Amino acid sequence: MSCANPLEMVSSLLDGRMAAGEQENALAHLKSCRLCNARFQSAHHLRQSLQDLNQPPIPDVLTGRLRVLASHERERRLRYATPSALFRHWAAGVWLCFDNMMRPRALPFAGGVISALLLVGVWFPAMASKQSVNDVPLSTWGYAGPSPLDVRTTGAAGDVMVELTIDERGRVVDYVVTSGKMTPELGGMILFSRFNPATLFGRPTSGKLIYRLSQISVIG
Amino acid sequence: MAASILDLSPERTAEVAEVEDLRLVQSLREGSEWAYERLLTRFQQPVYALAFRLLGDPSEAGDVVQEVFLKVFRNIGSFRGQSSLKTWVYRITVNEAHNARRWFFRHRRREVDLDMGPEETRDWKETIPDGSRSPFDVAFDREQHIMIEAALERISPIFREAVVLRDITDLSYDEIAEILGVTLGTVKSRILRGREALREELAGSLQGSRFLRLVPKTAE
Repeated sequence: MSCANPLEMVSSLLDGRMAAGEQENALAHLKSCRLCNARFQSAHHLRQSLQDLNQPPIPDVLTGRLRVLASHERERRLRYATPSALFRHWAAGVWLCFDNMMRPRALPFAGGVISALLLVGVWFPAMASKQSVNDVPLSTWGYAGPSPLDVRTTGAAGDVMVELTIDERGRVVDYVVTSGKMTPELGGMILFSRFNPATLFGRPTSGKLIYRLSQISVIG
Repeated sequence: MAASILDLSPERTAEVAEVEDLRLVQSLREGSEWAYERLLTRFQQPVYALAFRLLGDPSEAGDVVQEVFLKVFRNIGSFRGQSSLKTWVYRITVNEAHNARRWFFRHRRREVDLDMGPEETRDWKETIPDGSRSPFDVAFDREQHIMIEAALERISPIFREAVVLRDITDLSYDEIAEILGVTLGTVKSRILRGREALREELAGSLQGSRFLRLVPKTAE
């Protein structure tokens, strides 16, 4: 072997890319040629120095970032693995959006509802009318009616229709016979009977009452 | 069984590595937490070292490493196993470093770094004295490494890639050809020319600054 292409020879020899016979020839040439030997030694030393270069240590920050990246990418891969996982992801996203939207309003909303309930609870009983059993309706008319205990049902015979004028104390102040035959006993019975007076806005007032007396048998 | 376990031939080792790669890739596709952890543990340091050697800047290397792992995680589904996982990851690293270098020259070339220098940003572990070696040896190696790294940064990126992959990362010619996407002949040529360029750069720097040569002398 000659010094025709020493760089290629040195590089191939250094990387062990020569056939066995060719390598022996090259090694023999190195022993005989000082220049090629010096080149080989220099290249060998340079390669050794390159291999001895310190491995640059990976920064801790970068290691942390890579782990975060791996975690995110793994979640991403699992998310798109199946349609159900994708649907769950979307549902979780929608729920998260809703949650984030409602969370700032939750306290004011709850406070508003509680305040409204308290106000209604305080004001509603005061607004409601206090009704009792003995109350008389104020805004309606009351009509005069008979008081069965006080009507003296003895006297006349046959049907008699009378129009009674009743004062505010329930006493008959006048009467007009509209049909039938009035007897003196029946007239006395009407005059001495007591009726429920009519009412106006809850107060007793005078009124008229059409009264029919039928099949009255007078005893004695 | 024991014989197969103790069989440490290169073919057997490569076969085992291939099976392990396929298992790791399958687990990554399934979203296994173990697989993500394993991939990071196995590749984060060498990928960072390779990116650092190709770019010569720790922050740029960190960004590139993140991009590399992002691409690995997202494109693991398209990995067909035609090359080894290591070759595939390294190919992505070289491409990303190439892109980062282009972007750097376009955008950040004129920027001035306000951070502290490399001496002041050294980790405290690096500043602890090594008791096993003499200060002269440590200083000599350190100066030598600084000079080699500086010379490495000055040579053409095309040659630098080949030299780093061969002499520092210790990959075979076939793997380098796969990573760079070139033929074996081109790989051989780039390694040869890269080594020669590096040697010339080192020779030039030594001639330019002779004071950097450290010569041991006995104290009188």
